[in-house]
Amino acid sequence: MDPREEFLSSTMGAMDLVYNIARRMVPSVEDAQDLVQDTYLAAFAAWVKGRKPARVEPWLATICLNLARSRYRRDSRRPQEVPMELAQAVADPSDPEREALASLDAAALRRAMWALKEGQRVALALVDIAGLSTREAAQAMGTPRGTVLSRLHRGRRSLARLLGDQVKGREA
Amino acid sequence: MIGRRTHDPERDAALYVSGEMRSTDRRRFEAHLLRCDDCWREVSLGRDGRGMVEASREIAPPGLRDDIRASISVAPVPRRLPRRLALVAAVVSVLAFSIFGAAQVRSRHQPPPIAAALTAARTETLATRGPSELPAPNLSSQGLQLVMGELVDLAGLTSDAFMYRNTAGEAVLLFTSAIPFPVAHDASRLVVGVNGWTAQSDGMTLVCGDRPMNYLVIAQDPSLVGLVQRGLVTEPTPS
Ligand SMILES: [Zn+2]
Repeated sequence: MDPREEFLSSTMGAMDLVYNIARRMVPSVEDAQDLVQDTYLAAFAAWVKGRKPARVEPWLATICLNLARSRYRRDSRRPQEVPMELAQAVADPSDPEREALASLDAAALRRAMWALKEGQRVALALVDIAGLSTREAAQAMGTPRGTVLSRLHRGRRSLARLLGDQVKGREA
Repeated sequence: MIGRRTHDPERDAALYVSGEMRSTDRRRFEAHLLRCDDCWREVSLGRDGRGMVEASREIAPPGLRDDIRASISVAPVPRRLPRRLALVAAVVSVLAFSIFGAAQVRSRHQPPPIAAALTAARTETLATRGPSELPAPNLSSQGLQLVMGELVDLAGLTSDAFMYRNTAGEAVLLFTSAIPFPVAHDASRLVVGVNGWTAQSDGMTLVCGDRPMNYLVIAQDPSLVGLVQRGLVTEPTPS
């Protein structure tokens, strides 16, 4: 089998997952697309040298994270600063923007995700979206598993609190 | 979980909501949930948060798949040389080695697993066979941050490889294995403490020992090697 076809058929199924991780590493859609493409090129270069992983998802996730850290580091604005105001807008029920946000669930969710610390956001992307185990996420992030568990829980809890009012408001 | 360890609602909620508790622990924790408000609250929040993260999942833009296919279709694939050509290439490279390369590629004198480990340390790349199954030794008390942990094949010797960096960004590699590592060429025995050896090759320092596990540490800076070795002996290994 042609190595290109073999690579693509083994890895393209994970592309949406990689895109979702990339979307939580860099702020713009364009940068996320570039990051996914670079991830696939780097993975292919490793693949043709014989580095074929047992599971492609954690492998691609690790490459994506490493690339984002090294290459896009300068571009990613310290996420906890700017979007914090946005997050408060999401959370504060008396805010005039609230109605607009309620109709923009996806955007609100995204802002809330960006209000989290980077480590929390990445842990959530790896485990709750890409479906990595916490052990695999720890390997990909280069942190102890205990750190991943704590980031994961604190990230989930922050989102639940930030967006909880909104959800209740919609259900009522 | 509960009872065996100290009460930790955050950790237990994280494990429970991630579906990573073993069945006995899960049953015990579910019973505990009914009478512990703290754990109940953390699990509820964790579950709600996880649902929200799942809802934030996006579909990649339709053109991205085609872009990737297009870029892979023009990405270089190293051509495998036919057998006879490969032999010629090998002879040529041996000649080149004997003429030009003696000083730079000393690792060729090393047993293959040691040579492979040296190459990994020199290039700071691990030819991975997948993520390591072992929890990485925590060496943060030595000022070393884990960068990656992979299962690797060192010329036939299966090993877990962990890369750490100090605050200056210098890398040190720790290999562990169920099988003892071969002794490097020109190694000198370690006299104190552990049964092992140390060697210099390719401008790197190597230290090998067998306690608390078979390990091989490689870095350019000998003091980094020392830090890892001390960390292994003093750290209670993995969480
Ligand atoms: Zn409890």
